[in-house]
Amino acid sequence: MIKPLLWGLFFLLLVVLLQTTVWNVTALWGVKADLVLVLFFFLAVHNNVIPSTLLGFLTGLSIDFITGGTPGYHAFIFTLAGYILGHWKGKIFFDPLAIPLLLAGFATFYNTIAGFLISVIFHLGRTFSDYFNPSFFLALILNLIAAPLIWAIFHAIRQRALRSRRGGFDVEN
Amino acid sequence: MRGHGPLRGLVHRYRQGLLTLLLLAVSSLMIFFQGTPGVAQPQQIGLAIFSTLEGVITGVVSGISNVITNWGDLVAAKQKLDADEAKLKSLAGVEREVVALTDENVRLKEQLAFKTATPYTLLPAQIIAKDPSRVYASFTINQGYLQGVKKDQPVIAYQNNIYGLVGKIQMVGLTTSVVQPILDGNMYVAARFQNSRFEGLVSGKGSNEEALKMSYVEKKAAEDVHLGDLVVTSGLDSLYPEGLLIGRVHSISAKEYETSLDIALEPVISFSQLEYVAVIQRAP
Repeated sequence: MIKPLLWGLFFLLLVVLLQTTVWNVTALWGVKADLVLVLFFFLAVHNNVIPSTLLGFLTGLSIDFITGGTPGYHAFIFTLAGYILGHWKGKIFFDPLAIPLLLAGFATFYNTIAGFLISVIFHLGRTFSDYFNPSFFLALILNLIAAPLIWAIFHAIRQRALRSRRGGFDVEN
Repeated sequence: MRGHGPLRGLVHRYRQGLLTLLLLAVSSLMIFFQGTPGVAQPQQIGLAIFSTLEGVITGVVSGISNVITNWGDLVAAKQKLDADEAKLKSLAGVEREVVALTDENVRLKEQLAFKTATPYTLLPAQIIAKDPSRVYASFTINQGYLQGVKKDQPVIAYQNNIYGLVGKIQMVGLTTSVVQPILDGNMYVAARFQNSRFEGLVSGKGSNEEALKMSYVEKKAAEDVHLGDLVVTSGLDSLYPEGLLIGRVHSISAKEYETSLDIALEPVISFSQLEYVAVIQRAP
């Protein structure tokens, strides 16, 4: 369990760093595709509950470190997502387009709704319109555009890892 | 799990749920105790690590970009030599470089003029990373504790011949710092209208939407406040010096049952175009 968890975390942290630096050039009106979120969803549905949950917690924590925002905010969202998605392992048949699009759309909605609920529960001072505004729809569109590309790259790396039998992202608890 | 006792069996059976609950509890405690010094410490360590990596990536990418540019120039130069036009073409290359240097010179002069035009002691900084999520609009600059940056110091920027308030230092790392911009939903700045002098409180609307709102403006100000009016810091919160430009009035509305106006502002700074900022280290 440790090896694929570390690999997954390594890739996600790499993408977090890319998203905060190079990926800024793709921003439209300050909004950019959330590579980390979409990639995490792809990773989590290919893993069991425990690695997905741990991966979610560590990824969320890393984002909390970078944003300088409320510590624990992203950790909570990603942990819960990891737990839910871990139960879906083996229940989704991935095609190159439709499922990645659906999952990216679900990820965007989940992230926004969960963020809003956390804000309400913990009194973070954010309102409904802070989450559901035009930039939400733009983010949704950008995530949907990025999803097939991220899936293609993820799938290629995963196939290679599985073939080489040096690990990979598929593990049993 | 036979022979390990009923409790251990129970833990093993529900380990997935228990682990999730434990991690969610840790996350909840972090949210709950945000701002407590003991809890904030790991985040600062994380910032130091991540911002260093971000700085490295930014450097590497710009290095690669330069290599690609230079490679392109080299190939072009070779072709020009082959075509017996080396001298002319290399001059064209030099000319391009001069144009690039001139552009850079103009930008730097603009920043220099900005630094000398303001009465504040400023520390110029470059933005090296922006928030990966949509919820927080924070960004990281390449100046930190070693350069004398302190928490809560105001950050301003110079754009289109005016300087405006960008935000404040939220977290200080060794050589980098995180800036909380005024667009953030948790930012509040004591402000007043430059002309009518009515006071209010400016706050962000969260996300990356470049819009601000001004609250607690008396209703009687409705006649004196007009679209396009400038809003500046009032200096009353002792955090930001008085007179820093914040934004222009975009819309004014008033609900009958409320005693104050709802005013939407457009920031004077275009945050999506922001590359350089300056930290106010000392105000006059």
